[in-house]
Formats: sequence, C-alpha cells, structure tokens
Amino acid sequence: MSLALRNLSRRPLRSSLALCGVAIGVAAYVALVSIADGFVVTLTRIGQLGQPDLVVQTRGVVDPILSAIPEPVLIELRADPALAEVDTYATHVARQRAQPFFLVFGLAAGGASWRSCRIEEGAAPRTGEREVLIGRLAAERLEVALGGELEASGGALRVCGIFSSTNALLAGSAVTTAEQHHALFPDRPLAQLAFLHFAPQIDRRAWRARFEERHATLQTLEPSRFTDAYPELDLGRQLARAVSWIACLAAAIGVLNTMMMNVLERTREIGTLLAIGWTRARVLRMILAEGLVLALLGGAAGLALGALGAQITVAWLDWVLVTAQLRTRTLLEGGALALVLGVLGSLVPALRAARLAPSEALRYE
Amino acid sequence: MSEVPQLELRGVAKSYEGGRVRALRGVDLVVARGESLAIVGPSGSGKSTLLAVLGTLERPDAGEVLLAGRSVWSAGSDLAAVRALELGFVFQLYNLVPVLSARENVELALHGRVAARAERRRRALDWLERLGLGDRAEARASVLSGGERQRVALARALVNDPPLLLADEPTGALDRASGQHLLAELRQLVRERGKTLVLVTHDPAVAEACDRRARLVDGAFA
Ligand SMILES: Nc1ncnc2c1ncn2[C@@H]1O[C@H](COP(=O)(O)OP(=O)(O)O)[C@@H](O)[C@H]1O
Ligand SMILES: [Mg+2]
Repeated sequence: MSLALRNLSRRPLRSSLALCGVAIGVAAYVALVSIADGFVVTLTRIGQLGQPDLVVQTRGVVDPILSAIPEPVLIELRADPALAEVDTYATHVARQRAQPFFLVFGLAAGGASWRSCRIEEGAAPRTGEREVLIGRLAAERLEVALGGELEASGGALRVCGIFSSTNALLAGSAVTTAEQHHALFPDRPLAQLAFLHFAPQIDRRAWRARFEERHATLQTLEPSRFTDAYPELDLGRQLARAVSWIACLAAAIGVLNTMMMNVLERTREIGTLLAIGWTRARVLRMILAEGLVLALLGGAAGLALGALGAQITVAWLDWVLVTAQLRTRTLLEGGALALVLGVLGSLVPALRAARLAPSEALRYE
Repeated sequence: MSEVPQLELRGVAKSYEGGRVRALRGVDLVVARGESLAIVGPSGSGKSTLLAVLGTLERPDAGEVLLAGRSVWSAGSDLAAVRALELGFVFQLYNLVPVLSARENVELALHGRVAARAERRRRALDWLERLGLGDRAEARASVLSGGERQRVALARALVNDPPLLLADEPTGALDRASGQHLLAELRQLVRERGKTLVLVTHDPAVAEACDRRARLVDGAFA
C-alpha cells in the first residue's frame, strides 16, 4: 500500500490525471443514478398519498396520468362497507414559465390527501370559480402570492389560498377538489387513481382478488410497490447508467494509459525485482495494487463529487418532481465501480510486467 | 576436488535473434566455493550474457547450469527462490528504486521471504551497517552518491545471505576511490564469509584482485 502510493507519487501529474478520470466517472454514475432514483421516489410518493392500503388504476398504463377510474366503479367503491375510505386524485400539467412541469391536483373533497393540506392563508376554492390552492413550496418557487395567478390551458387560475403539506409533491403543486378540477379541465377524469383504506378485519387478499375479477380493465397495486407497475421508469436508470458507462470507459482508458506508461518506464526496475527473487505473482500484485490505490482514491473523490453534483443539478433544475435520492446502494456501487476501473485499467499492464523476461528487462533503457 | 563446486557450466550456448547472434558458444566453467573469478574480454564478447545465464535470468539454448550441484533448469526448480536465496546480483548502474530509502531498497529482497516487517527491517539495517551505511539507511536512494548506491545494492544482494555473488562491472560507474572501497568489501566477503564471487570487469586492477581470471572472446573462453 505505501509502496503503491510511493510509486504513484513519482509521476504526480500523470497519477492525478488518471485519478481525476476515475473521480469523474464515479461521480457521473452516482449523480445520475441518484437523480433517476429521485424521480422514482417522487412517483412512489404519488402512490402513497394519504397512506392508503391499496391503489387502483387502469390496467397496464405506462404513466399514472393515463389512468382513469370510471365513475360507476367509484360509486361502487364508495358504497363498499369493506372500505373505510376511498381517496382519489386527478392531475393536470399546467406549464408555468418558471416551471414547465407544474401539476394541478384534483383531490377527493374531504379525503385523506385533501385533509393532509392545511390552509395557512386564504380559503378553499369556491365551486364554479377558476380558483386553486397553492402549496407553500410552489408559492415560493413561482413567487406567487395570495390572489396571484397561475397559467393554465383555458385561462388563468386565481390563487385563493396557500397550504402547507408534509407531502413534498403536494406542497410543490396546486390543489383543488376533484369536481372543480374536472370542471376546469374537462378532458381530465374525476379520478385517475383511487386510494383505498380498508375497514378493520377485512380479508384484503380475498377482496382484491374479487375486485380484479369483476373489473378486468383495472388493476390493484401495493402502495410501496406502486412504481413496479411502471417498468418504463427503469429507462431513466438505464439512461443514467449508459451515460456513466461512457465516462467510466474513458476513466478506465486513463488508468490503463497511466499504468502502461508506469510499467514501461520501470521495465529495468521490474527486471531487477525479478533478478533479486521476486515471483511473477508478486510483480503482478504490485502493479495491480498501484492501479487499485489510484482508482480507490479517485473513487472516494468521485463519491463526494457525485453526491454534491446530484444536489447541485437538482437545485439548478428547480423542478419539484426531480429530487436526488442518494442511496447507500448507489454509493456502494460507485465504490465497486472504482474497484472495477482499477482492475480493468491495471490488469493488462500488470500481466505485461509479470511476463517480462528479466535479462531483457535489465537491458532496457 | 571432492567438494561440489559452487557453480558449473557444461557446454552452455546462447544465441539471439533466431541464431544470428551467437553470444555464447559452448562454454564450460567450474567455480569452487569461496573462489573469486573475474571475467574479462572485449565488449560484445558475451560477458553479460554469461552472467545472466549464471544468475538464471537467461535460459541457455544448450548445455547445463548447475548451482551447488543442482541443475537450475530442471523441471520443478523454483527460479524465484534460487535467485533470492542462492545468489545475489550487483549491477553496473545499481538499479535501486529511487523513491525508496536505502533500507527499503534492501528490504525489497526480503519481500515474500521474511514475513515479519520488523525482522525485514532489522536484517536490512544490519547489512547497511556492516557496509558502513548505518547513518544513510533512511535516505532516499536518489540522494545517495554512486559509491553509496552501489553499497546499498550490495546489501540488497547479501541480505538473504546467498553463497554466490554475481556482479556485472560493479565498479564501472564509480570513481576510483569508491571503486576501491567496493572492491575491498567484496574481497572481505570472499575471504571472511566464504562467498563465491563472479564478476565482470574492464578494470585490470579489479581483475587482479580476484583469485582467477577468465577471458571471453566471441562467446568462448580464450
Ligand atoms: N537480448 C538480446 N537480443 C539480441 N542480442 C543480444 C541480446 N543480449 C545480448 N545480445 C548480443 O549478444 C552479444 C553479447 O552481448 P553481451 O553479453 O551483452 O556482451 P558484453 O557484456 O561482453 O559486452 C552482443 O553481440 C549483443 O549485441
Ligand atoms: Mg556487458
């Protein structure tokens, strides 16, 4: 370890450049995956609005925005004695100048999500008026005050009140009642998703089976596994991976180039080590250790850089829907990635060093 | 002579570049234990090749190399162990690792042979002291003088206490005083510790200081 560090310090500039390459590769991986994960977390939060037991949506939709619960089904659910509560929401994307992806929620009046919004200023929207409540977070981001206006298709919306919510998604959006929402945006359904809360002592599995049998066009989901219904979300992660692979490939080539030059430059020294009785395995390990130390130092810097980079990117994007979710797993993967880069970059140089013919290596100038 | 010789070559031949350069052509050589031999000859006559063959660094195309009676190229022989324990090399240009201290350079020869760090350290310091470098042990190799470097290299060659020392023009890069100092050390090792020494030299004074001289011309003893 100290020998590896000492050998790397012989060519400080060369070593630092390779180290930076690894740092950038690992940082790209950590930052991009964290952002992709953050997106999934946001969506999971949609499925957990009001902490339901079960979520109902249209079978097979690729995005919750494409789901719609037919009115007769809503009536049937609300009449079901097995259910203590049926909460719903619908969304409309209202493009704002400062935030292109701004959501206006239509929540079931008096439902769990509605109750999670505490009006701090102003009052609830009046029926028939183009009024909405805005979350505190959104009000700050968009710099809209009570009585201000939001842009929306079909005309501006007046902000009749400002609410706070523990749900970051709602706090960063605008909210109105389901009926009002449907009236404002007639192409949007009354309910996109339904969130079910069971009455005590109900056989949930049996209820679920019966429900899905009766309504073939709908599907039920566990709230915590809500995002499993959207394999397309993996696209974001895959994209994040693909982009970071490219950065990592460059990093591996950087390590490879550095270690190759190190071995070439130290040919005579390696010949000497073989002449004084070092085994080929020991020479191999020495070069591998140098590559690994290089990559691990770069990796450590990359993890810190990536974690910071994800936060900065998200802050810079300024979208409520995009948060960075830095998971331990991502950090571990970033560390493993550095390790792989170190091995990939130094394996060929190490094998080359270990295979040197000692007398030829000793002649090398 | 009933005793097994320290080293023996039997009909050793070595050529390079697909046989176009014949560096050694059937060389026979016997060196007894405790003997010192100087190999002389014009440059390109095969001296370094001969030393490399003696040191198991180069495999001969034909013939046999025996160290203490054992054929080194026979199946199952552990070349790394032979190089570490049976012989020590000293090169014309010292071949030290510049970023390591004198002591660490000597310890390199103990890696994989002596597991305990403290023991490696003790042995390395011991040899450096014997060669008059006790106070230079922690100095980086890159700041040592040529004479000091060559004595560090000698300590590295001796630290495993091998019976045979091989030196390729060990005084070739040294000034007169340093060269004489080193030669005195080598002679003392042969005389007092019973080491066997084979060295290559251009310097008649160094050759004269050895028990025997052999002259190589065009890959064969003249
Ligand atoms: N690895 C090698 N490849 C090609 N030719 C070599 C190699 N090693 C030595 N030779 C040639 O073999 C001959 C003997 O070289 P060497 O043993 O170095 O002589 P000396 O040490 O006496 O000067 C020279 O002609 C040299 O060019
Ligand atoms: Mg030579």
